[in-house]
Amino acid sequence: MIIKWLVWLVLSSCLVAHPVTWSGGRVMSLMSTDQMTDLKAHYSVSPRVSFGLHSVGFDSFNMVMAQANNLLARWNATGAQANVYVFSGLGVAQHGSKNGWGGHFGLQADWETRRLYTFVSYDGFYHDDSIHLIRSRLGVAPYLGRYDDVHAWIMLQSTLSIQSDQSTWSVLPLLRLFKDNVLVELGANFSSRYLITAMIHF
Amino acid sequence: MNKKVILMMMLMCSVSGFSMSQSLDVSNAITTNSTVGSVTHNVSEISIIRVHVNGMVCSFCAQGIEKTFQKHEGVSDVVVDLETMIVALTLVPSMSISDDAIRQVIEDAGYSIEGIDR
Repeated sequence: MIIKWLVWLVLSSCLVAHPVTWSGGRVMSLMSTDQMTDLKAHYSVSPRVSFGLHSVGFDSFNMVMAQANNLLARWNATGAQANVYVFSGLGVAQHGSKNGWGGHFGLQADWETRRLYTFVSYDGFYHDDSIHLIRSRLGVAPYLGRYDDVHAWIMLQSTLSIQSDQSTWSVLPLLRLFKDNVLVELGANFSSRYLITAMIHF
Repeated sequence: MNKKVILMMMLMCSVSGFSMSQSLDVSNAITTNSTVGSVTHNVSEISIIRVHVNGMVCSFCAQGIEKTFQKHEGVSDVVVDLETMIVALTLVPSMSISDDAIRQVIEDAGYSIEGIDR
């Protein structure tokens, strides 16, 4: 049991997760892109609040934080769901040989049906050289699977990255696959941009 | 000609009879009887509760519903149908689960209930 939790904590030192799951649910996720590596491990104390560890690494600095995710609003409709989340984290940042405080603030809104998926988010990582990411996604499910099937989504992700008054914008096609409690995403474009995501909840 | 009409009617009756038997298979309570001599024993009674859930559009996100109900001592099986947005709970014989308990599980998983059929 102790080993299981240690493995969980070690793996949790770098993740991007489903912000909040069911009451008592745990989620671990890893996202790696050409710009950043992000690892999270979270425990949902309720369907609205989760706490966890968040590690994020950029070219210019790394950050390890304690993080809280809050579901601000959810709309459950017949055949559709929409959510608004807020994220906040505080921890230690390392920039070269310098250490200091680092913080994270994020907002996310999504709306999905079984066929369509939309998502928009803002993430600010605050340190000496802060980074701001604005992402949006539009996805379509090519087929409607049953509960136990492998589900697939074809998505287009747009990312605007702002750092030190310089901004870059990229568009990335990606494929999301999930079955049961495991999700993976793979994306790449012809400008050497890529994204790999793995997520599990239990 | 009349023979063809009669054959067609027989075929249609058999098809509709098959459909009815299919729908009976998913009725809310299934009782199995065994007869020993002249005495009939009720050996098992399986109750199925259908929970209509709003917002259940993704199997990855609906895992919490299945996992939480599977931990309930009164529930022997959980079937999630994304098409109809119904969670079917098969109860352990002689056990029950209240509407409030069902509602709590669904809401703890982040969803809302449209209705419960027993």
